[in-house]
Amino acid sequence: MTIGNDRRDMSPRPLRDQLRPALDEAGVARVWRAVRSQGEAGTRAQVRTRVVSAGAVALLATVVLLVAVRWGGVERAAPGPLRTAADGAQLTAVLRATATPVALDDGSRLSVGQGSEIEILANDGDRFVAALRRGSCRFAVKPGGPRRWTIETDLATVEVVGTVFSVLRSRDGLEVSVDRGVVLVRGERVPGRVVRVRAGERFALAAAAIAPPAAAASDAEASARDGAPPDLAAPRRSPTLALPEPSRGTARRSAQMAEDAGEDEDAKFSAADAARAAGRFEEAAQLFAEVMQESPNEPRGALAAFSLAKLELEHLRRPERAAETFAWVVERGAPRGLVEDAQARRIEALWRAGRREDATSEAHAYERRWPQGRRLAEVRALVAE
Amino acid sequence: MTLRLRSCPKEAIIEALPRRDEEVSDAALVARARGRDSWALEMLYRRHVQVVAGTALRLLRNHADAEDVAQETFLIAFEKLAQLSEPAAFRGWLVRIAVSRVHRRLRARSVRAFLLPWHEPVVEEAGLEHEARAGASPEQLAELALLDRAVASLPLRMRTPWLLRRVMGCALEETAEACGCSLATVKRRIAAADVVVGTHTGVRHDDRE
Repeated sequence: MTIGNDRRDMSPRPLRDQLRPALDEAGVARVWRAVRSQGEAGTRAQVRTRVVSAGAVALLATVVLLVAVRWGGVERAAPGPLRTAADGAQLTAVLRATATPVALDDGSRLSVGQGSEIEILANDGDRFVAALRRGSCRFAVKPGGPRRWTIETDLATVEVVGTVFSVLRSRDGLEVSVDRGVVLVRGERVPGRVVRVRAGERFALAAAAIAPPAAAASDAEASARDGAPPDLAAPRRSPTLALPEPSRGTARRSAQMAEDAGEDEDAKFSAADAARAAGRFEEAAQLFAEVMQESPNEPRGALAAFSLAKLELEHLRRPERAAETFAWVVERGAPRGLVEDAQARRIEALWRAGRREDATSEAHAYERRWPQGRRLAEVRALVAE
Repeated sequence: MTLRLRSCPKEAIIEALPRRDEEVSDAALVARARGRDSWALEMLYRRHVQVVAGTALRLLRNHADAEDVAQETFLIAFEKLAQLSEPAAFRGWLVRIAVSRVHRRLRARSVRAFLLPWHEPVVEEAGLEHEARAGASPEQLAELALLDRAVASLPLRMRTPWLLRRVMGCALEETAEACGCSLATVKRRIAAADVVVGTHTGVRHDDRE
């Protein structure tokens, strides 16, 4: 088409010939400079090329802040070995009975029982490995920490991430009692080479034979046992939970099963998914909650939390809890794709819980953080109701 | 013949640009650009920047936003150059990226306008009549203004292919590629847009390709 004196002029010129170029030479050069510099930096430009770079301002502010923090004497170092909370002293290689629990600088605590001995085998930023040579020790491991805790005994290995549990190595065998969270007990003599012991359960492995787990002991039983820590709080009573029969355990986990806790968690995640698909929402929620607790720093944990929150919101009618669980995912910050969705769903959960003001505030926060987010339209529609 | 300096950390090298009758094809430039030839990258940029910026400007009707989109488009294109399966189709691929970026901006604009009504809306100062070449007659300016109103009333799914085809002069296949739809669909949309534009302006079009 063309624009001319005769409206029916059909000269085949595109209209652009009647228009100025979109960019003049200065504009062409300006955009090219920005493309080249951003390309060299390996990032995509989001800032208008005509505005003084906000990044320069932010960099200056960061430098000022770093200098101030440095002068203030506050330094954030990567997590190193665990130390005592009281005076920051290094842990001795061998820990023996203590009258009071040893508080550690990550918030965890150790209570070493009378006549007991623990040798610390490894202690760094991402793991704490100790060998219980004799006696018992109660561990209160702070959840969410960066370290994987491993307690070795000559009969089995106990692996935890954030739990409260006790380990007793006596003449008769090994007992692992869990008050909170879940631990994995591994060993050649453990049925299926690994078992999961949940809160309220106790796993016992006799030196000569395998014993099924029983409900956690009372105070009286605990104090009557050799080497029981003097300040051991009474584990809760719970119904007796039997270990899977060896044959079932073997069928469930073959002798070649990989000794990777991740695979167990994946299996649990799959079980949770299957329960959800089958409409067993409470069961699925419980399983997702366990994966979330056991893998708080892994993408699996965030995905489990997200799935749990969805269940709470969509099927279990618990919008308040859903909002909290979505907030947990957002705080973890990874995986990024999940964070955006979690923030948006949290807004929905808050809305449904009647917390309209919080929902609106979160909506504004979402829009600031994700100006071109996938869920903008939904968020908009929700707070506009 | 033009000489241009190619920057080099150790020494300056002067090389001649190819003559018009030996113009390097897009495919050849893409191949060189994939080998980190910065001259080839710049050639690709200069060859296609106006169609990218023009597409963005006609749709966004704002110079600053159009410039941003042009910048984003080339950054993305150069970042993903290895993924381009048909180097000869570089321009169409580029325009498709630009259209995608434009649509994102338009979506963000409408959401922002709804969520934050107190914010100043983006000023759409680049209507067709404002972009006419110097020396356009008053009648031409009036025609462009009428056309601009008509085009602005089109839904985005019709406005985009119409602008690409009728204003930017893109081929039908290229327009379809940029809009992410079939040739039949893009023809249908352009034809429907033609009807609306023709009703407002009295201009008729004919695609003879």
